[in-house]
Order: sequence, then structure tokens, then C-alpha cells
Amino acid sequence: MAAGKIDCNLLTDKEIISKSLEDINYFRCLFDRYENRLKNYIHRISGFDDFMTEDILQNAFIKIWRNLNNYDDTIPVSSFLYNIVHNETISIWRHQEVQKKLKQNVDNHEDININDNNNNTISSQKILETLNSLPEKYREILILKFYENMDYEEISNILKIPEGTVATRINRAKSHFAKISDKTDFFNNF
Amino acid sequence: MSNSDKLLNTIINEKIKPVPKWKFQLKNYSLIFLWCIFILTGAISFSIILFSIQQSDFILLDHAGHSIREMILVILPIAWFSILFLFLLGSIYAGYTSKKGYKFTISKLMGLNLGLSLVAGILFFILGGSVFFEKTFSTESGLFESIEIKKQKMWNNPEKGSVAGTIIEVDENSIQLKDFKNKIWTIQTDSAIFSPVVEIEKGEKIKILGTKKDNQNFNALRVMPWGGREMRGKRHKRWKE
Repeated sequence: MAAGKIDCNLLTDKEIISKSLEDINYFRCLFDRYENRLKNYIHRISGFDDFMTEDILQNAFIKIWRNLNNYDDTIPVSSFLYNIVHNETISIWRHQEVQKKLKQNVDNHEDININDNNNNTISSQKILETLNSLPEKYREILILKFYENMDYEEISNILKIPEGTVATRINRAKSHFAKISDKTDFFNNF
Repeated sequence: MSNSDKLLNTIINEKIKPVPKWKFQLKNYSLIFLWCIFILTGAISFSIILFSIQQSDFILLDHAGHSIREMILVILPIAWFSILFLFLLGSIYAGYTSKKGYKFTISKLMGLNLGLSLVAGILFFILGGSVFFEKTFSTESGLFESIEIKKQKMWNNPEKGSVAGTIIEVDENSIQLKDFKNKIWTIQTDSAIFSPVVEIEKGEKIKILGTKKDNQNFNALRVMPWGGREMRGKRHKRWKE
């Protein structure tokens, strides 16, 4: 195991990337910084349990390590990481055919309730159940936009689609969501 | 052991290394190079298409009774249209798979790539490059049959009132013409209209509309030069009736 504790708090993501190429210990900082966010993201778009989620994250970061020299510094580091994690998750998810299990899988990581405009409480469980019943491309884009709080450009960089397509897909996803949940003003809460 | 320790252990124990930067650069530059080749080939195709349209003698439509469909199938280079289409698809693929290609929709890429090929093709045509390309890539028969040979076939039709060939003798009211099948014709020109730019001299190639009198004689109604300035390399006035 590599030795040495490094203080990365003052370093930006881009600085960590360039230092990682010289000293692998800096790569640990990147993992620590993004671990929880990415684990939650993997879980939300796939419904996998903790064990599977951690496994996917490890594999994704090994791919990130391999592709470090391919990082394009005109886009945020987060987009670069999310793109690889997203592709890894979707690839395994499709193989595993977990779609059938999605409806039974609930989010145990968050225990929050959300109020809609009429002050009716919508449980996060209900939200995720509704999300899980959407087609893959709509589910992932709603999660990126409303859970990960990404803007259109970031989503474009992660999913590798034009920004115009991001906007169109979000609108369609919201329509789908509203039809299923009967909550047409739900997304005004975010 | 934390997850980050696990990750670093895996990387170090399995000796996983980052892919060298030059490999990514090679892939990116190769895609750009491929894209340029596709655009250029599309431009060459389009310039040859323009050249063949320019060389099409639509005057034959009225006189010799050829249909537009016949003209299109014989003169226009269907093979080059196909190449233009295929290389357009190739350029879209190369563009889309490039590093920033995902930022463009397919329709925008199609418009951009087609636009570039057409503009470059027009430039090649204006600068005379299409003649060079057509001669370089044409064959005597088949899909890439040269425009010259196609024209000869269209014009070598005395039964329908068209002949063409090389002038071998000039008299006051007649011309001796050797057509492209080496047959000698005596062309009566006393009632013919001559194009202002045609040169009636031994060795010049001309095309004639008229009526066939018999197996050796032809009455000319209109006499024109075989090619435009691109074929002859000289400046000519616009043909006026």
C-alpha cells in the first residue's frame, strides 16, 4: 500500500488530477472527495445495494485512473468523473437486468420528505419509486438535474449529448413523471 | 481498510498505469484527419458533379428528342453522387465520435459537413480543379466513365440529328468531319447557324445539330464548339443566338 498522507484540502480538482499523474497518493484525494456523491448517484440510477455500488465505484475509479491523461481541462473534473461512473453503472445495470428489481428497491440513504406547492408531503420513497418506473434516459437525466444539481452544460458533458437534447429530454422526463405521479408541479420544489 | 486504500492497493498491485497521453492524441488527430479526408473527397465529388452538369448539352433535349431522365442517367455521374453521400456519412461519423462531437446534433453535423464539401467543391470547380479530378479518376467505361466519352455517345447519333467530331477539311459551304467512330461525313453548312465562338479550322472539334441526308452527308442547322473554355483552355464569348 502506498504510504504518505497528503493534505488536499487546498487543492482544486484540476490540481489533484495533474498531481496524481506524478504521485498516485493524490488520486486517493479525488476518490475521498467524490466517494459519497458518486455512491449516491450510482444507487439512484441503478437501485443496486451498497456492496454492488462500492464495487462499481472501485471499477469506475480504476477506469478513471487509466483515462487520466484523457481528461479535457475545458470541462469540470466532476463531469469527467460522473461520465465514467455513469457509463460503468449503466453497462453493469443493463447486464444485470435489474429493471425488475427497481420497483422494490427503496432509498435508505435519505430519509427526507418533500412538500409540494399545496403543502402535501411526498415521501422520498414515493419519488424514487416513480423515478424508477421511468425509462432509463429520463430517470438518469432527472437524477442528474434535480438530485445532483447539475446544470445543462455539465449534464451534456456527462451524458455526451448536445445541450439542446438535454433540455428536451428534461422536459419530456418531467411530463412522463407528472403523468405517472399526477404531480404536475412537483419539480417546482427544487 | 478504507475504500480509497483498497483502490490504491488494486492499482499498485495490478500495476495499472494511465494510458499514455500520446495514444489519446493519436486517436483524436486521426479522427480529425479522417474527417478532413471525407470532407475533401466530398468536395471533389461535388466539383465533378458540377462539371458534368456544365458539360451536359440540354440543347439535345429539344432537338434529338432525348428525355430529361435519359440525359440525367447518361450524363450525370451517379457514382460520384453516391461517393458524395457515402463520404458525407463518413464525415458525420468522424465528427460525432471526436472529442467535442457530442455537442452537435446529427442534423447540425450533417449541415456543417455538407456545407463545407459543397463550398469547397464549388471553389474547385471555379478554379478548374474539376477538369483535373475528372480526368484523373475517370475510366473508359463503367461507373466512372469519363464525361467526354458520355458526351461522345450522346452526340454520335446522326439518325436523331446530331453528329460531332474533328474537322478534317473546310470548303465554302461544307465541312469534312471525322466523327468519334472515325466515319467521315460531309456536312452541308450553307443554311447553318454558327456559334459566335466556334472556330472552323482543321483539327478543331465541333458538334452539329441537323438532319441526316444519307450515309455520308449531313445538313447542318447549328454548329457549335465541342467543349466550353474548360475543355479548350481558351476564353470564349457567351454564345448568343
